[in-house]
Amino acid sequence: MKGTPVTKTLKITGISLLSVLGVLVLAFLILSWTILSPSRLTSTTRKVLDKYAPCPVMIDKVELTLVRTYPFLAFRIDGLFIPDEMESSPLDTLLSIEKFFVQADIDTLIHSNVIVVTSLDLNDTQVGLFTDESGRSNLDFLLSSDTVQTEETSSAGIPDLSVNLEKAGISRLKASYTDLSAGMSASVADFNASMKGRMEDGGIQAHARLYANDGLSFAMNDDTTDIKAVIKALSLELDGMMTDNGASGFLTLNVGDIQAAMDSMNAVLSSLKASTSVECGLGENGLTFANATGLTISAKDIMAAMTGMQANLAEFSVRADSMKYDPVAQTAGLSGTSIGLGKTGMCMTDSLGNSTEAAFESLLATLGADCNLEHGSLSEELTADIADISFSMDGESPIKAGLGNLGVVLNSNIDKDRIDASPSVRTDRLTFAMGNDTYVPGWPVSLSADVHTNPNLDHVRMPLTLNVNGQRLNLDADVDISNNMQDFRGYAGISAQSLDIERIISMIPDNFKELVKGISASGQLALNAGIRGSYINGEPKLKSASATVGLNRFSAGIADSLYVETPALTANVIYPSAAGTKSDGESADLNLVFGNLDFMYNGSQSEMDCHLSEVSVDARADGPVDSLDLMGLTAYATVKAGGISATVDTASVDMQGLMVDATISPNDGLPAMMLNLALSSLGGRLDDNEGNSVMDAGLGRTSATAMARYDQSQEDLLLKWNPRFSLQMDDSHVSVNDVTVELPQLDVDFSLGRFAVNDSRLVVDGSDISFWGDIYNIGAYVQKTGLLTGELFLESDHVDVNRLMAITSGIGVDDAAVQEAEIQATADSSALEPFLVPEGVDLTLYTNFSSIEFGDHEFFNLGGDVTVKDGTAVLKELGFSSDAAEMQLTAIYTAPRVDSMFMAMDFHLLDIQIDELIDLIPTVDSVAPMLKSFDGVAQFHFAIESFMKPDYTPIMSTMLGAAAVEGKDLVVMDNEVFDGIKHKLLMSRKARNVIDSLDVELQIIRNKVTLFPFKVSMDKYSAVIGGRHNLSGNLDCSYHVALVKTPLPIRLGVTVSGPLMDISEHPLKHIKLKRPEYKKLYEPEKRGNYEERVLQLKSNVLEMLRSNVREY
Amino acid sequence: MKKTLRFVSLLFLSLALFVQCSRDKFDEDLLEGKWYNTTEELYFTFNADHNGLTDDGEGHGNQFTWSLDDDELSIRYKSGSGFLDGITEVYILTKLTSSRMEAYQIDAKDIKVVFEKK
Repeated sequence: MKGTPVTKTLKITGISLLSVLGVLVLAFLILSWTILSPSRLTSTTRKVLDKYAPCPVMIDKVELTLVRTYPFLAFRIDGLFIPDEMESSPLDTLLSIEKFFVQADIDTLIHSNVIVVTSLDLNDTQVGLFTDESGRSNLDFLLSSDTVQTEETSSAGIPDLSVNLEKAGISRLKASYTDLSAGMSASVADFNASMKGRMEDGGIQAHARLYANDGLSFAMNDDTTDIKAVIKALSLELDGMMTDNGASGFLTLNVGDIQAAMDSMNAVLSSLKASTSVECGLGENGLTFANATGLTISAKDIMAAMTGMQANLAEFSVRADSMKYDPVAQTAGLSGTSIGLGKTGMCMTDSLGNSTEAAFESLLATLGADCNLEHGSLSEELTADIADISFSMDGESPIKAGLGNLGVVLNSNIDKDRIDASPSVRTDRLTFAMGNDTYVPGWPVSLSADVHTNPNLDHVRMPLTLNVNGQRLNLDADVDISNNMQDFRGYAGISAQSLDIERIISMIPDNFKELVKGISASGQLALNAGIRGSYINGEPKLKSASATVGLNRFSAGIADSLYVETPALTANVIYPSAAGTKSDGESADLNLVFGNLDFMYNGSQSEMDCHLSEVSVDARADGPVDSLDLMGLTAYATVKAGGISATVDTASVDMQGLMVDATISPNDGLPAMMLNLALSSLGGRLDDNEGNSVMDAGLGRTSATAMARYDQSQEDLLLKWNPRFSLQMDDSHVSVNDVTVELPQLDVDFSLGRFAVNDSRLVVDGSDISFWGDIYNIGAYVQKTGLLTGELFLESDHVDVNRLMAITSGIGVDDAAVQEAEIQATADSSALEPFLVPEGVDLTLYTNFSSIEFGDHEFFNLGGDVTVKDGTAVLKELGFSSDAAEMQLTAIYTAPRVDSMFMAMDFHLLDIQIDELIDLIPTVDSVAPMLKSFDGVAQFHFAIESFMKPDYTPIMSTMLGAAAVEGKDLVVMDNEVFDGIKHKLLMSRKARNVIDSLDVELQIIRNKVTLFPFKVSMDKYSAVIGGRHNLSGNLDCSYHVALVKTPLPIRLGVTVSGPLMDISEHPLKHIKLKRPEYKKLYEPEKRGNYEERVLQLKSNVLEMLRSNVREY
Repeated sequence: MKKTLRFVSLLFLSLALFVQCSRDKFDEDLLEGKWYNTTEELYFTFNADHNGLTDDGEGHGNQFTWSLDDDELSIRYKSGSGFLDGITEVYILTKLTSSRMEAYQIDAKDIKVVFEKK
């Protein structure tokens, strides 16, 4: 700020005024020498004024005294009156002075060239200035020539005089100014002033006091402006000095009752006081410095209002210890500045009558600043304390907010290159409510920031700390801004060291508490997250991001039914991956670690308790963002768990030493996946309600690897994924009730080229089975380009079939369900899908069982091969031995299609007890029911074949079969019974109940069973038995027993025929005596063609069956 | 008289023997073709090459070879598994025409089996 025009004007005006006074004094002194008496002086003055004055001037009295008042020359004018002759002026008086008096010391002037004015009074003066709408003024005839003269006088040079004004005063000055052209008016009703001063040696020292007791007014009213101002009382005291080198002074202002209005605004102030000391320096080039010290401004009862708004300020004060301005150094400074406000309020009311109010109880601010205008730098320190801030807003949802005591600190440094600011705001109590809902009940809040930017605002760095109710949050941003604040590039982050979760939940407003009803949580939350990216031309782009979330001593519960607890948990996400990224893709890392985690669920129907320990999850993904192209994706994940245990109601699971590794990455142009799993142990248990174990299962050390390559050009699922896996398990078991299935060892490897079972073992409740083998060309088989081949081996030292059947029968299904399934299966047999033997397969299963328990029998050295080839499954020469017999079995099952199912069986029991035969194969009894009448050792041969329906019922029209029983020394009926009847039968005493030999052959063709006649001999009796029966319908039969040798001279024949069931119910009805047939059958010399043919057919059957025995 | 009685007895004895030893002969050419066994409700097809097959009307049956020796028709079924190669069924024909065949099974003389030519 350059003060040269102002100071120059002040200096010129002061010098001019005092010069004019001096001249007037001199003039009047000279005049007094010639005209001494007041009357003459008055008359003369009137005449002169009448002749020379440009307007009528009336004077009551003019007096000049010297002799009487020597050494003081006194001049006095009483009753000076200049009327306002302007027609358009509403005023009568242009100038009216009741009394003008001036007295000077002539002696001092003569001897010392010093003008001493001992008194200068202007009393009861009235001035009226008027300008009409056209701009004509009632002073037009006075102002122009006097103004030119004044300037010329000032520029012509100031007389080298010293002036001492001991006392000057203006009392009761009334002045008005009206300018209709400008729409302005001003007036003062009772203006008073007192002055004293001294001008000497080029310097001026003065003291003045101005006051108006009855107010000052100002008004301006034109087309665009309507201003009014009224000051009821005013006093201004000045005390200063001015030299060529500068000026200094002290100013005191007191104003009472100020009212101002502009358009619809008005303001009222009851008291305004100001005081300050000012000092400035002047040099050749003007102002060299300016200082103001001890500035105080105070005001009271301030009110400002406009349409719909009103503000009140109880008290306002400003204090500045020092304000400095150095135009040479281009610096400015402010120190010790404080601003104080008393109770302040503001109210705005809208057209609906809703008001918005803001208020505070008090404000105290201190400000210090230093400015260097040359460097364009500014540093400042601002502190402010505001007490009891309140805000309210009416409406449908009234808002109320408050800040108990607000403290603000702002330190800033600004220069041409940078702007640094450190704002800090704190309050001890923040409240916010809307409607009936309280959102912030009264929290201490603080916010501090450290802002760094530049005048262009093209780069901003702003770390910020927010503390709400004891929860501290740090925010950080470092951003480059361009394109008119539309483009951004940089970093933003948020962090919190230790957030109290329980407290945060308690901070949820009441109207939202319903959302978290029943939810409780506690612990510490740490957070550190940041993103780096850009927002250019409306497109956001993420360059990197990271987030770390940590939970410490965390627990959470929902409605007393769900509970989670962990002492520490850390989750970490990084984008892009720390391991790098593909140039055209994106990647991310995920890491999750926690030591222990407990999870509990307590529901109305079930309970669950889960514990995890030492869990870590690492995952990384690297791939294209725009598409889900597996080919471009590389990802891995590793999950480790020291232990996982869970209990759900009566079931429990425990897993130790878990590690799972999964990877997906391109391989030979295809996306490939791999999964590794390792487990130290896995155990599970299911108890009943009494706590007894129902099921218990466990896996020992387990490792598994699975791989796949995804080829979407393939249609078949296996070929599409090309899976490979290997599995090794040790010491695994499942126990259900009293049954235990153990897998002491399992080792399998699978790929489309080979499926290998390596040395594996299965133990089921006493049955111990080892199995191994290989299957090849699985992939080629699926593609139908190759043969599925392989060999599998089953070996066992002991198998308890009874126990296995008991275990596997109806497992998991209750009796009622089993019965229902059987009924359903019988009723709807068409729904069964038959097993079709696949073609393109050449597999062989080799079996070797040292011992097998089945029924009441034990079989040894059971072994045989099962071959599946060309759509046919063959059980080849399955043989075993037992206490009861030796067995050989060969079975064929062919089922390439549903309409071409064929089954055949060739079965031999050698050296078997007949009763055990029937016990072992109950079917024999239905095929040859008469056998159960015999007891002893026999050979049994049986072969049957048939095509089958899809439900495995034989197609009778295709059935062929044959059976033969050979026996020697067979006992029929027990000894006691035989002894009772042999005498009646006229048998010899030595007769035994033994049949020497038995030779039974039967043949099955379609549904017809033909029992070729066989002879039974006992002592003196021989009988031949033969016949047939049907396997379908009513099981019609017709059997003939011919007694071909008896001690009696009769030959008997008995035929039993009819439906089998009917025969058993009404035997006599179906028994007929006939001529004995088969008489010639066993008398070679009497055989005819028929007998020969029958015996040939009978022998044919036996030979046919015998030829199938492996070693006979 | 004795001599005459002896001669007559010898004559009747020879006649009886002749009657007893002689069997009917049937033309196997008449057998060729497809026959329907009304008793078993089964089709029998006898081919000229002495092969044949049975058919239950739903495409199910067995292959066989056949031979006709005077009145004895032997049907030897082919075993699909090989276990029952040689299993044979014997019919004793009593009548054979171009349209009808009557017989009984050797093991069921009392049951008449009728075939109708198809």
